[in-house]
Amino acid sequence: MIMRRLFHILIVLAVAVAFFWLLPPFRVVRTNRGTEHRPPGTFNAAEFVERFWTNQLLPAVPRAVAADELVALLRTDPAAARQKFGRSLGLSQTCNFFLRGTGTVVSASDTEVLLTVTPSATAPEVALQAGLIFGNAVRDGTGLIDVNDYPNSQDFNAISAELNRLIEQRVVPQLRAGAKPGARIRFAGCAELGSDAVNLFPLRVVPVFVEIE
Amino acid sequence: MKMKPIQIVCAVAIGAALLFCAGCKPKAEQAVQGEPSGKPSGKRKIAIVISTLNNPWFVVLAETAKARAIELGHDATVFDSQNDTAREAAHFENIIAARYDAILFNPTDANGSIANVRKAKAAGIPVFCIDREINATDAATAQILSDNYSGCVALGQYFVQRVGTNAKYAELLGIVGDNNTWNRSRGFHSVVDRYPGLKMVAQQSGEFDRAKGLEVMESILQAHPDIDAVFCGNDAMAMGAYQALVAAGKDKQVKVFGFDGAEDVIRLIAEKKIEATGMQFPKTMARMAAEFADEYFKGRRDFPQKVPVQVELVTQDNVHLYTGYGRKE
Repeated sequence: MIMRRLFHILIVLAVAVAFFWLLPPFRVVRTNRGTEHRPPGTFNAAEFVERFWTNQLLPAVPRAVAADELVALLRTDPAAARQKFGRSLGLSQTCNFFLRGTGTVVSASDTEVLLTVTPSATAPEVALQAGLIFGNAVRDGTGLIDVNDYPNSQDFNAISAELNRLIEQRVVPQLRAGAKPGARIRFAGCAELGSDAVNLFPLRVVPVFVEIE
Repeated sequence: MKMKPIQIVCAVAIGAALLFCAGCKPKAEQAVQGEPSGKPSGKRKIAIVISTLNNPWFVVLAETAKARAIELGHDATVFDSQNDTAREAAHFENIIAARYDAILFNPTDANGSIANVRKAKAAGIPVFCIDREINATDAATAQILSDNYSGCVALGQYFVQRVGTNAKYAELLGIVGDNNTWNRSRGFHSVVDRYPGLKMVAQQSGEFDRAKGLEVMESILQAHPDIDAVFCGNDAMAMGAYQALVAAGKDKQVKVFGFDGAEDVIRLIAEKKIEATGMQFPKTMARMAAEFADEYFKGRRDFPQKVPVQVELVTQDNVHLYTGYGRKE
């Protein structure tokens, strides 16, 4: 009698196990996956860029490649310069560089300030952008911002627009005010070089920092 | 009420069984999260789910993905979602039920398609998004996407160069629920909005569709017969807009800008009838997605979540370097 009851109970148990195996009542999942669980539409690019500017971008300037070293290698071996100092986003032949240095102003206009950065230069080697700033040179050039951290690429792209706005507000006016021919300028910034760029110089640099010596 | 010892034993056993079951996942899902699936390497079934085949650009995307999958030794079937999220969801149900091994996926909606990808993932089927993204980085195995924003920054700069800084223009948007629509529009506006003399007099959705693009352009021309240019979020709409302009006798007055690199637009750029387009590389993206799936079958798991693919500006000056959907070999 007891054996029969036990047998029935075991059958019920087996059916219950099979049922819950196929349809588990709950499942344990990780929830701490960082940005990917941010509610949609809550990314504030302006706030992000403000923090990024102070906490990451400016502190990273000392780690940027020296402009004279980059210019010298671009002159002798552009492929090696791209390989050694460049960064590309995804599948792209455009290369971004993060560079810093000191240059002498050759000339200045409303849109750019032309500099030489090597002692042997006979023509401008760097063109600091001093007009409207477009594109993703700074976002992609520093290597500090990763596309994979942004579930919605609109947020990733909004960073570029905000960075460019901040550069126009904070860096460009200072550059325009101090850029007189013969002046010495310390700078840091990002340059974008397309695969089919024939004339490498002057290297068009979006400045993130300038200081007139 | 006092329980008998046998009842206590049964209650404990059922509780333990419940907890055990709750912690379990289907075997296939475990495979997604790290271990190669148990199937031997060899011929696999790949589903290619495309937002719409009513646009030649997506036909190229689908056919290239299929051809590459077959070339790699697999079976491939194309499913057309007809820009309908419900139809897309039904495709996913069928694909999961039919136990496909991978999905190459061109979503209809950046948010609405996430649930489908999650279902496939839960069933152990890796999903590789092509061209259009989903707004999640923990669902698809990888997403291969055109860098629309950068492409339209370049297009916007060329637009200013060609149209000038004092002009009226219209914009035809794509599908409003698609991120590509807004990445293109915002990339373009990140440039043109900086010139106060450039006035956008109309902005309407043409839903990435040629017939809709024609219809919207016709109504814009009635309200604003004096526009100087139109920026279209894809080439199908650019073709529709151009057709409307020809019919209204305004094709010489209004400069047309597209985006995609479709064959007919490349031809019209070469004939100096359309100004420019942004060349996406659908064949490159489709091939890469099929190759990713093949690598997945062979055990690879370290895919980058997002692979932006560069977009190139095609103008009347450099169009000789391009053919429909890519660069000339």
